[in-house]
Amino acid sequence: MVSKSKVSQLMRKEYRDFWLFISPWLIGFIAFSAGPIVAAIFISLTEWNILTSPKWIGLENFINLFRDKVFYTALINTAYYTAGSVTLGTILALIVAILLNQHLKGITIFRTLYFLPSVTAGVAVTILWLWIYNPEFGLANYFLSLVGIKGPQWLFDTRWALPALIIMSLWGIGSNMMIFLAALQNVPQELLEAAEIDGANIWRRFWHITIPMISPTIFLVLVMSTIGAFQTFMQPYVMTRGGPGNATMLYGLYIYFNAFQWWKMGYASALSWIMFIIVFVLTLIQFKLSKSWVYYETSEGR
Amino acid sequence: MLRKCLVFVLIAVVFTLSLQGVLFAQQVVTLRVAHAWEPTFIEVQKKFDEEFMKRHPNIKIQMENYSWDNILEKYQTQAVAKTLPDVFYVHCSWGQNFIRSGMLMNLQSLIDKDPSFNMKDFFPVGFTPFIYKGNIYVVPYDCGAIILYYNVDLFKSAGLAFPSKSWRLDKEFFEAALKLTKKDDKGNVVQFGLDRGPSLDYEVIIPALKSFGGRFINEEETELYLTEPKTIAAAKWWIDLVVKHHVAPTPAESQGLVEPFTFGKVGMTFGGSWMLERWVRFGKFKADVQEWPSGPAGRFTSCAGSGYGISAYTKYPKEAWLYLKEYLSKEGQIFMWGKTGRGSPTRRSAWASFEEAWKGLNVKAFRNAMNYAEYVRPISPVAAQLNQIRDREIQLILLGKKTVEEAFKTIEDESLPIMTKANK
Repeated sequence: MVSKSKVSQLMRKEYRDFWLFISPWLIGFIAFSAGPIVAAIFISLTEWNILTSPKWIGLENFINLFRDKVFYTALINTAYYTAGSVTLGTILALIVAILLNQHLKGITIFRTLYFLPSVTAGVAVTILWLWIYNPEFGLANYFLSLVGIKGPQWLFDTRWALPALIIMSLWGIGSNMMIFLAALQNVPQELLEAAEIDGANIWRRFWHITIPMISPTIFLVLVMSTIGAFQTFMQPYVMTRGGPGNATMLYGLYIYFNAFQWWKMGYASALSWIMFIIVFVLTLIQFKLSKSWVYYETSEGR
Repeated sequence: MLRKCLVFVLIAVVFTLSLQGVLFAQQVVTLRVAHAWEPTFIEVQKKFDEEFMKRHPNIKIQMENYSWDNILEKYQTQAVAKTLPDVFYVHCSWGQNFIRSGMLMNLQSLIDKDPSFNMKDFFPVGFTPFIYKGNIYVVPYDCGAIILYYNVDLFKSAGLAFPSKSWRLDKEFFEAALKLTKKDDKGNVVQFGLDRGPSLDYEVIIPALKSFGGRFINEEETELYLTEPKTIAAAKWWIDLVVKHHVAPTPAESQGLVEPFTFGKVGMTFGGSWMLERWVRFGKFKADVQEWPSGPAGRFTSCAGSGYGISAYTKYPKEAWLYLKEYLSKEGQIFMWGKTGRGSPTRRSAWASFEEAWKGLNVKAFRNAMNYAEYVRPISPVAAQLNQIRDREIQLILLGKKTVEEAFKTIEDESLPIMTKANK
């Protein structure tokens, strides 16, 4: 039997180790994230061009924001982009993970190949896609022409520019694919075998066993991808600068323009806070909805 | 006794010398100087700094070279932390923001007190974005007029006479653009007569509109003239080069090709002297330059450039001014930009070396154009926001999504409130 003091000593050690291991992240978070987040609250209530002292203007930035047409455009564009890229990206990542979860010879090569795009450098890939989408000599329109379709102007068409960015976002499904792959490999084989013996076909096994078992992973991927999509910046910055018109003016890009190109840090901070609130509410909704479809293997069940 | 005296004198001498050494060591000042040079030009900069340090052993130059991609963010952060380099590069589009935010030292009194600086030697127009309330804050090192570049090889193969000073936009220039545009059997354009002009971007909008009697913005940057009939007509002439005559690429056609002229598939374009390096020296074709052709309303052009200023937070204003003065002196400009051909000097006295560097080319055209060039506008602190609105709307015209009238009205409607607020 272990004495009470021994338990307490062990607990203290565990506490100490916990704080020790978490401290690098914690210090980084406080210094580089929490500090700026708190500062942004104050800055959003000021008129500040970064270089001179901030001038207190109360809620004026927030009032102006609701009168700003580009704010609404950026918001709608971002919602469209998020819905498209998250939905398509999640479905595609899951499909590829299922295909790569087969016990075939040389499957690791395919896994590496599918994951590779996720680790390639961001700006270089963006420039590559710029060439793919070139209406004159790009690969996208070349392949379409092979099946007799005259491709659109892609990044120079106000209707196609944002879908083009959504399609491009699928390039980075590799990370989510790996997460799904890990989850799929943790689905208990005995459940699948039992269902098979009971006569369940492949679709039923997938829908009633695999999906519920990996639902926490799907939920995680959805939440993280939604937050990531809302913060998308580099692709429109490099490829379109928000154009044509404001067709690809995403929220992150609009914040950047205001903060660093137009020297309106106060307004940019107000925009950031609105984005934070939107993402926070969306995440809360996702958590609320998750209760009806996410299955956790705990004593409480769902 | 004598021996004791000698020892005493010796000790005194050694002590005095060592004290001087300490004092001397304390007088060495490290000056941080920031640039935005491409890697190939850094060696020239290092040589200048070495020579400067030889002339002034009490000043140590610590060169910092910033990437163009994030130089502005770097300056902004340094300014907030008051850690700006003592002397630093300033692009014309940042001048007014930097000055009005208190980042730069007022150089006016130093210039006034120092006859060796010789203000009269400079092209006055080069100072335009660097003056605030009559005071100079930045000294420009280059200021280039925007003029016509042409591909000599393409002109020769088309059997065309080279552009001359007597060219008119609506005559010889237009005819050459038509003749230089070539299509393949399928009707695809494989060679364009012109590039850039129809984009009406920040460097070309002033001369493009003025040549046809239009106008863009006033000097105080309080008014826009984009809805005036003459301005609309002038813009239509340029836009038609793309949408009607198709002698210049559409935005989609030039996507991915940062400067189509570089690839030798464009007959003419417009640019400043800083493009000579890329278009003439490294181009795989022969190119030359000519003044901007005149239009029905006369000959106009714009100019742009960059300079160097001294941080308002510097601890060594005297040494920083000494560096700046020598760097941008006649000799400094010849060494850095004249002899190397890197940029058109702002001092008239340094111009001969620049012309020598580009011997065989008509670079005199740049100098001639400086006599009537106007600085690119807007240059006020809200310029970046105004440029974004203008570029966005002009792109919509070129894509056929808006008419000139609609787009120009939008530019005015969105820009004027911003300009009014900035001028308050």
